[in-house]
Amino acid sequence: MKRVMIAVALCLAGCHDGEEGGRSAQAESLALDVDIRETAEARLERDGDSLRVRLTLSRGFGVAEDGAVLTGAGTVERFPEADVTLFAAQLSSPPVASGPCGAEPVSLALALHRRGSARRVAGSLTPYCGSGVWSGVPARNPLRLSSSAPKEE
Amino acid sequence: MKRLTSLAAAALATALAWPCAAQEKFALGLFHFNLQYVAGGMLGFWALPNAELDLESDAIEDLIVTESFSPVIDLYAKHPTWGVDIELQGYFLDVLAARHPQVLEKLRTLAKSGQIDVVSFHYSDQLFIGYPAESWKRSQALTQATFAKYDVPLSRTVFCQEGQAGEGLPGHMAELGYRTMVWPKNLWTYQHGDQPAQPLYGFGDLFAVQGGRGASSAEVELTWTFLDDGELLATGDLNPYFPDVFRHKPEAVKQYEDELLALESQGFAIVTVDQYVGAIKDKVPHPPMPPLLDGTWQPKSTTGVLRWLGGKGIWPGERDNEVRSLGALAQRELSAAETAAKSAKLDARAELDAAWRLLFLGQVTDASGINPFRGEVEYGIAHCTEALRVARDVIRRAKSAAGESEVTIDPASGTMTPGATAELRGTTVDAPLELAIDAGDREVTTGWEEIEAGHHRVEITFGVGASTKARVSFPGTLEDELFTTRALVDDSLATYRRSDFSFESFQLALPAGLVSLGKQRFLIKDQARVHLAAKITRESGTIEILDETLPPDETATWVFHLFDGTPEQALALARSVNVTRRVSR
Repeated sequence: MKRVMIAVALCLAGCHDGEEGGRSAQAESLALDVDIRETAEARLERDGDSLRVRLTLSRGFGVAEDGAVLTGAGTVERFPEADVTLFAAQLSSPPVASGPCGAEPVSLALALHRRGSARRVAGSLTPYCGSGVWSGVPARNPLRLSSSAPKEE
Repeated sequence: MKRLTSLAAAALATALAWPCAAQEKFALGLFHFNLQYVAGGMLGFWALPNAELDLESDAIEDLIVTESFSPVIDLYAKHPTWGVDIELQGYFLDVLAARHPQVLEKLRTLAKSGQIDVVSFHYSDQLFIGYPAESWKRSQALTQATFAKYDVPLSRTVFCQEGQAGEGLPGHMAELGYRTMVWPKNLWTYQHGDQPAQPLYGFGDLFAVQGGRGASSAEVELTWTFLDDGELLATGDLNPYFPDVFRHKPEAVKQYEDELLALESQGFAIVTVDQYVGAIKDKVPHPPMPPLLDGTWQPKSTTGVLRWLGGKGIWPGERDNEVRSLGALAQRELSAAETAAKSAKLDARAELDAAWRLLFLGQVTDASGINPFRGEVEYGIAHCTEALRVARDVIRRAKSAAGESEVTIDPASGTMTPGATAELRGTTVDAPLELAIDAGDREVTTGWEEIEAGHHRVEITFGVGASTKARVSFPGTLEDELFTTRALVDDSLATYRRSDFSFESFQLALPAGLVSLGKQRFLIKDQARVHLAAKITRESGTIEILDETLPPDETATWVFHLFDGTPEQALALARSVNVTRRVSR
């Protein structure tokens, strides 16, 4: 129940963004579930194919602090033949001593895909140990991100 | 297959049928272990949080090792004259090395002594019969490297996740050093009925045995003691979805041990599949196998491969088409990224290898079947999306290295050239054939385009609705011959005759997207838009595509190509759509 309430609250926050129920050509706020039980709020600001992301995590899963606010830059990637858009961004977290990266900072790759004009996005936040590390064997399984309700289009 | 409960009695009955003193007796056991049994862990499985049940992936993996895997290894360590096959994905060894080194050491010792044959054909328990071969090739290479890295001998025997099997496998097996395919008995009988098994079959230039099915001849008596999820034996048939009770039950192992002791006392040699084949191959005939279509090990209960490609399980939150089409898109993009990096002389080997690894983890079977819960669905989506991100990042860097802002990447020719190329689109036309579509309360629109003479593209859009089911039937002409491609062989056609089979219908994964609707007409699914099973029937040329996992309040759009021409031309088109897709980036 707590999770549902947080999701609703985050969605309502997102709905203040303007046209189309929280989406506009330049910015949108997304209420996300993280590994089902937890939540995140993502703020995506687009400028052409460039992207600025602000991600607030309810729980850090050992790769960020609980409640961490992560920011970073990225790109909007299009796959016209599949009618898919990918929002990709590079975020960073200071070391989390109790996590899999120990004393190392954590690079967190955000990847969210969207089909056509659907509201739903889904994807991952993948942690890599070290600063500026954006590939390799992740420090743990990618965190699973997907749109929280409502999902109607 | 469930372990036989009265092995001794069954073996005795068979022995009486062949009282020849020269008859050799063998008992085989193959334990299929899957570290991705609950892909991504149990978080969110139950509606309400529960610390005892909400275990993350590592904790579930550890339970599989300590409660189910280790006890089986220990059983065989206790009986040095017994042999057994342990099947696992390459990833399993990485986890053993990282968190259970003593178990790995024990496994290595027993593998080197020849007592345990460690069987592995893929790094991840991926649905390899449903994708172009490249993903499996990379997975297989990583498996070989992983076994070498940990100095564990890799068996010459092949058995796969969900019992996936196909006639295209021997071409790869031979060159990779494999010798024997264990073909699941139910995938055999589903296609040809319940006939007595031979002790050994020819499989191309290699060998095959019917997994789980005993055989008897004047020379050989074969019985199977186990062919099932290995996780179930030592835990008394409990599985890791119940982590609070998924525990080693010594009495369950003891019962199995007693059964093997009884067989041994009857003169059965308890051996590995490879030892069995080595012992009998020069003593018995090995007739060729009948024609067999690709599939999985329990086709009756899973409706073949449908359960992973459109068929619903028991939990809400399943979305087969999103999972599988995203896997296909990411695979295409990685192929394009390979081409782009090579063309631009960009050293991205490490990034691409890591992305392939993520991809075949994401293509895990359990993300869309048998009964995936939301966490497993999203495990697949998360891994594939990250693979897609890395692939696109490599392409971006390759373009930059080449000094280009827009390129066409053609994996077929291995080129990256400046400028964009037109997509596979055409001009709007009337429907060249009438589709039968049933999507419940959803509004359906279809749009046909002609790309060139004899080549149409159709886009079928399902509006939002309560129905989670959509079915599209493409009318075809009934011909005995059916053209498609086999798993792991994307570059040649496979021809089957419907009259060679006893089934009424069969579900095909279409790894290259291609199946015939008649002698000169073909259906090609665009796997990045629709990746669902194709149902063929013996008595009709119609192909049916079904999704029972449409999320209620989301739209869906499926894209197919309809092609009139020769089978060879159709194969070339299917490859260009799904295997080596040319993309503008």
